[in-house]
Amino acid sequence: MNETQYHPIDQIEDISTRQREDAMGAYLMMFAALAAGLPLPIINLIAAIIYYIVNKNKSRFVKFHSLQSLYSQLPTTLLNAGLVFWTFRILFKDGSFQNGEEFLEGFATVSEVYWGYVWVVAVANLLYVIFSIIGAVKARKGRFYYFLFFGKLAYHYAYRIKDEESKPIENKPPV
Amino acid sequence: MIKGLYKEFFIVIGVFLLGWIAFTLFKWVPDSPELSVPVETEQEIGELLAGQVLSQYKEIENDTIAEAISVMKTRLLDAIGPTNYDYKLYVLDEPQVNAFATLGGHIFIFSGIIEITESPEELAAVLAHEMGHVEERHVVNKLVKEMGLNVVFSILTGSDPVLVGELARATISSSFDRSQESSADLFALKTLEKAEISPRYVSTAFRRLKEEHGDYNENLEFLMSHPNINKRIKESLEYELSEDFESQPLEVDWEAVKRNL
Repeated sequence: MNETQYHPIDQIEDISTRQREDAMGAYLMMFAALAAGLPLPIINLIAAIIYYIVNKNKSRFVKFHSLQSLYSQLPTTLLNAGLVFWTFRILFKDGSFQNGEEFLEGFATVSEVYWGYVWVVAVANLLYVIFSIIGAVKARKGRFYYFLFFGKLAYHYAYRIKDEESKPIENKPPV
Repeated sequence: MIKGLYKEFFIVIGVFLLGWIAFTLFKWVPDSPELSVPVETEQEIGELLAGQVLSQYKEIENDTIAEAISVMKTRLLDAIGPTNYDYKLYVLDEPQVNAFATLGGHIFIFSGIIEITESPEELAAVLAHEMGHVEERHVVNKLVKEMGLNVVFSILTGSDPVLVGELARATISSSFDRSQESSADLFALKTLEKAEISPRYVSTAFRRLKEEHGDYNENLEFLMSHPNINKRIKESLEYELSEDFESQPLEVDWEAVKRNL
């Protein structure tokens, strides 16, 4: 397998203020989307995708941060959606909304596995928010910040040199 | 692909799964106060409490009744199998429709409940439910929650009569929580099935109590701690019996028992 080639990484002085703000926006817009997406956690994912599509051609630096925000949002959103789905399954246990007592009982008898899931999702969201803030601050300073796994993935897709880009150079400047 | 990507992917997945498992297994609420009271201690306290209860109520001592109760007890205990408790059943002369278990396997049956039942199997259902509370240590749990561990233990050292009285009162008057009631119901259903007594008698007993007292009666704490008796009737009716289940009637002359009350 031939090694993937990567574009040289942007240095601080190469990145304009506009680019820095766009990159910061990739993380910050999720706060707005998060509030809107509370009942249906899919909304913030849609917002992240739109943001990515709008910004991906601006520069590789912006694309990297948009992608990192998008990628890290994917599992978080899936986890949240899973939680909402699971919770609704409990609430509407017998196909209809339960009366007050059965409602409470439904939660009292929910398995430990559910509560374990609630906690791990809460922690995942917290980590996501914390790292997004760090990412936003770094992006504003024109720096890179790599999340575990998602950072590498975003770097790969933002900075790799695609095959069509590495065509042999036919035209050359005068010698 | 970029170096180390898969490794980091598995780290993320691993941390998530480990977190889930850890949070699932972690006990947020120390929910088993009963475990800090050894069974021997429970039995000692049970003796004291039983003495206290017997001093407040009149026990009916009659051979017919004693034999009937012993037939039920034997049948149920055979079904339960090995147990830590030395069950003692008492019939008290008291018109209240009630039965309750105190610590250490002492179970008290008020004569009122015998009067409203029409067959020994119905009372056996009630007893199986109470034995469920004992076997699953709900009584200790309830007492420790209500009075605190120190009080429960201090009764052993000082035998303060006021304290014993308070503790006895607490066992009688306070109720079990909903999940404890459900698990005692389930215990009763299983035990009755093993004892070759139809678990349907659990619902018969519930219905009898409901007819007698309407939907809620504060004297019926042992069954009515939550006024959701319809649901419990439904659940006991829905209990699935194994296919080869055959019921064996209890060899008890129930009318004679009632006459001797």
